[in-house]
Amino acid sequence: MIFRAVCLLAALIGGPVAWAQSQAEALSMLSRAVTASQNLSYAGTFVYQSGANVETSRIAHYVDSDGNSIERLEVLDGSPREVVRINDEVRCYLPKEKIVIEDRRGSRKTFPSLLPESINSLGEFYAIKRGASGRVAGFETHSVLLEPKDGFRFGYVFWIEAQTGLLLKARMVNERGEAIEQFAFAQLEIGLPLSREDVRSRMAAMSEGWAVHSASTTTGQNVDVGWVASAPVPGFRQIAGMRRSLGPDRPDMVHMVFSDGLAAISVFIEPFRKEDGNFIGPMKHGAVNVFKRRVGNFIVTALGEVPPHSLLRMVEGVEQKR
Amino acid sequence: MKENLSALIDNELEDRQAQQVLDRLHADGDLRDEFALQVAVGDALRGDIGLGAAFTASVMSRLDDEPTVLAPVTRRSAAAPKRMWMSAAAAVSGVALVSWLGLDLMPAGTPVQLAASTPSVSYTPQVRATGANNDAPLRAYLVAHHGYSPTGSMQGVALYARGVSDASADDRR
Repeated sequence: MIFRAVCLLAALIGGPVAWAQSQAEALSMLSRAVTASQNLSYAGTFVYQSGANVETSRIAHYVDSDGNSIERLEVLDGSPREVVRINDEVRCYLPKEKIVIEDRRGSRKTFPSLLPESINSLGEFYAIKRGASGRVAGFETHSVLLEPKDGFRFGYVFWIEAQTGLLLKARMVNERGEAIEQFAFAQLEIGLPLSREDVRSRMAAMSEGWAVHSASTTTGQNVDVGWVASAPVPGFRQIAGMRRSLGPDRPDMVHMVFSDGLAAISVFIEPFRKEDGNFIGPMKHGAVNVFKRRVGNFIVTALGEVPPHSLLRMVEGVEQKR
Repeated sequence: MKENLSALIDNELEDRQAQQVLDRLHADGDLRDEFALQVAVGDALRGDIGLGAAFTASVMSRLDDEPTVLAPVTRRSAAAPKRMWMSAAAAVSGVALVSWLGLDLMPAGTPVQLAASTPSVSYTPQVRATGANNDAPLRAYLVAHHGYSPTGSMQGVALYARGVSDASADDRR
């Protein structure tokens, strides 16, 4: 009898303890993945899958002796495309369209590092636990599961390399557990002695004369932009607000970012122009949902890796401060 | 609930009621479909989006591209028209609903399609990726967005595979 009571007590206490341990372990694995992705040099091939669309890319990450982080992605399927990131400056080369898309986020130091600080609040919106171990691209990995606690966000599964902590596979799932999007390394070498040449843009030289889409920030990253989202999506708090330049002859665009610590919603607000046409309503770009709405003389676009109704709610509450 | 939806869109609800409708929207997929449809139709009829000749032409050409499915299709009928634009909603529900359900079919940067009733066109669950001509601004948005996406701090530049992904690649292969 006493034995049974002890067992029952152990089960009652043991259950939550084991669960909390699992969550703590899972969170520390995520923190490790953030550090590993910034500090390790690696090169490999990964497969990006969204719906029926599958693309293979080559990727290399090089950290030079001054601590600069340089990354290059080259899409191997379809038309050749390239993305090069030097610290917080990103350039996407799209030769088929003859377009370069530039983005400069400003100094990394002025912006709070995203995941490590917010990682502890993730447990409010996701049930976080360790999953099964398994092999990805020939490496032993541990997996971390994040199940959303409500319908305003998707779920995630991350596979993290056992030795280095590098993220090798990431899957975003809907409420039925079906994959919406997946990134997975097919082949990878970690800790390679790379050089600057390995991550140098191959397309920069041929991109002369291409149209450059640049919306560089003209303000700090946390300024009063004169707009608010009055019906926020549960768990999403504003993490950035800035103005971005659309060119010399146009007024600045507003960009606000909301996040629950993992998923993010961006809200872009720009003056309506006739030539912007009729792009109103829900849209989709791969796994990223988009919702456009006209508010007075402005076009408000919300987008993010969240279900469409989360964007709807976000857009509904966007208004100009009075 | 559908009437509450219209009232919500017209901003005629008390805060508490509005919250109830929003909560319900969150839970009910069918209601969300209806909501998106009503918002889009309302915007169109108020003239927030002009439906010029070029637009109609582009919709018609897009419809030509859509596969026709002969299998029976479940189509929700719109509620009895209470306002001018609700009856229009009924008229266009065929295509607009197709667009909403068939989001995966839509090229990036393509709006909800509104057009005259086109009963022969239907949604097909088969996902067909298509390219888009006018998605450069959207891509720039995506690139700006990914700079702030927390998962990017684990995935690095791999995340940008989304923004540059060439959905039409499959068609050409």
